[in-house]
Amino acid sequence: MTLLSFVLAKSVQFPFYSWLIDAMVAPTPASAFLHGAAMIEMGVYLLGRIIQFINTLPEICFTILAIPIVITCIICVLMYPIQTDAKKLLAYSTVNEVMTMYVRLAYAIINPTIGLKASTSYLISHAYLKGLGFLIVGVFGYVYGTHVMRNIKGLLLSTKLVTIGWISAILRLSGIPPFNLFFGKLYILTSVSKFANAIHLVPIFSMLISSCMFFIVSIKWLEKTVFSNSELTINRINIPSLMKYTIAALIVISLTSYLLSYNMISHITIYGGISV
Amino acid sequence: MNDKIKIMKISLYSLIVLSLLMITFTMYFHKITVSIGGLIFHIDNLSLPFIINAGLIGIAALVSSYKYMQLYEERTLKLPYLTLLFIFILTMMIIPMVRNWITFIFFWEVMTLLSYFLVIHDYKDSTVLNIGRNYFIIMHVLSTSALLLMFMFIRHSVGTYDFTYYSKLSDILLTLSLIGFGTKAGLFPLHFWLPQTHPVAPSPVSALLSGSMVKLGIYGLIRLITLMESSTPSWFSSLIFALAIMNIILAFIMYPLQKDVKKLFAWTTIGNIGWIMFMVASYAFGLENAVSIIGFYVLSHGLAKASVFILSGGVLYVYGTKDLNKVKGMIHSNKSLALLLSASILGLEGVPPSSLFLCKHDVVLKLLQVNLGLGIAVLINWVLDFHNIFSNYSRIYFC
Repeated sequence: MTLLSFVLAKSVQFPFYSWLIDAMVAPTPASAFLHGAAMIEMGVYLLGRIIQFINTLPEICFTILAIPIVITCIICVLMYPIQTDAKKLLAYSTVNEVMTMYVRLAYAIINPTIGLKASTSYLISHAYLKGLGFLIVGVFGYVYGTHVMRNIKGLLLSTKLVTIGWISAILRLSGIPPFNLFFGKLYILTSVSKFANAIHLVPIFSMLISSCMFFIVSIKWLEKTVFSNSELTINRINIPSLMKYTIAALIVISLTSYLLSYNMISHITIYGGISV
Repeated sequence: MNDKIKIMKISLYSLIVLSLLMITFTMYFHKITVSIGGLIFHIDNLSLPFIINAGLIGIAALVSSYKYMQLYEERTLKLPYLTLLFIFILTMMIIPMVRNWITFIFFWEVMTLLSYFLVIHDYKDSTVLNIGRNYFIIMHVLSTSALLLMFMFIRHSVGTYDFTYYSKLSDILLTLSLIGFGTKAGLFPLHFWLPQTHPVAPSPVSALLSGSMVKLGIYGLIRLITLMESSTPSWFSSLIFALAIMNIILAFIMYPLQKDVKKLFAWTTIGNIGWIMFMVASYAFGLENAVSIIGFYVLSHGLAKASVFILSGGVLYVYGTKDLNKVKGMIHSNKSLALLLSASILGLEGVPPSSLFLCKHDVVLKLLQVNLGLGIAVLINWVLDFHNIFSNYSRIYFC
């Protein structure tokens, strides 16, 4: 139980999610790293390791894990529509995505073989994606001087690369196919292999609901930022070429990372069956 | 210079679609199964008409886009229209070939995404954006989520995503499939996106949406039914019958009220989906050769509908309006357009020389086997529909 609360605090699930939103004052590359790679995923990693090594966990763990998942989902669904700051929207989506990873881990408690792999693949895909999202927001801050999405208009007219990056980042977060998170979402559906009772279906429904909600909100913002007329003409500010290359590389990686990670995760060994 | 690039793009894309059609025929007649990187593509009797339909309408849409898109030229829109259209056509041709639900849902979602970008091509108009957003949200929330859940249940009960024969499918699963595929196909309670979306999309795009994308919903449904070993429960077929009747009645009521050319044709799509759904239901009911009628109906209705939509784009191009009350005396001012439009409307309504006549005739014959009253009612509906549509159109020809 202590372990569980420690893990949840690190990776911003329900009782402990507020520090992440407050931490958004950090410079964007820092928060890109914070979200994408280092901090949050460590909690998932820890729990994944535990599941990998400890002999079959009791089923009650699933229920304990399911409760914060559902509450986090409700919070995310309620908070998405009122966000205007691009960084905060992404932060809430991180909370949500980590929640989806926990859904996987919860299923891993029941069936370690697939759930763990699904969680890891999702983690890898999500890392690139979130890095991309935050870099784009960083470019917003650089070019427009603001992260508030209401002030960013007519993106399609200004720069092609940033537009493609932003569209792909925001659509991908809601799980639209040509991008890797879609496969992650599919993989979790595969990982569900046992419906002993109705409670096993709860996490997956909450995942679907929250992703639909994020999708609706993101489509709204996509319209307002990309497809809107800009009243003030933007004098084309040159985006530094280093930033451009990073964004382009991240777009390519996030399109292909599923293929890379698929090979990696197929080598994960499950030790749970061996009595320790 | 710009025009030359456009022509080259259009011819390149049409050639690729055409060669894919050739490959389709080869694969079909020689019974070849292609496997690319573990993905299996195979074409059988059921999927062939859908692929031909998408390919032919796709070529027509690509070619007709060249002049039609001049309407949007002064608005300086930046979405890469032709490329998006091309990939949209490709996904629609690939969907009936796949043999795996995961690949199916992948291409299905790519198709939905691209159709969203095509519908909002005129994105500087805020109503277009609103309607496009509604369309995409409906598709994603109702269709995709329901299908994902359905595939999850299938995977759970069978153990694989590949197309295999299912001994028994639960009631929840059949309902989910009806929601998921029915949304795409425009079946009764979920038909409302069709008349909203078609008027705002560019005409070649609505030709593709109505001519072939909507049909893929039917493809998914009938594919699921063919994969079932035992017969479907009786409530399933009677529910589809009931919804199809609602489709037809609703379309019949809405025809005289329409002022927009494209809205009228969107409602005829809803009516015709009702006709096809009758065949799907009677196939689920146990009538064997309903599948071939569905294929024939899909092909002939798709082509007629595409020609009608592209010609309504022609009306917009010539007269600058889509309002049926404003276009007058077409037979004097533009003879060729009037001739083509009347020919394709007659084709759409199933007047004898057209192939849709044979299809509707077959549907009525089948329905007479299932239920005498239903068959006669559909027959009467056919005649009244024709009267409704043509009285709407006689004004714009002769006044």
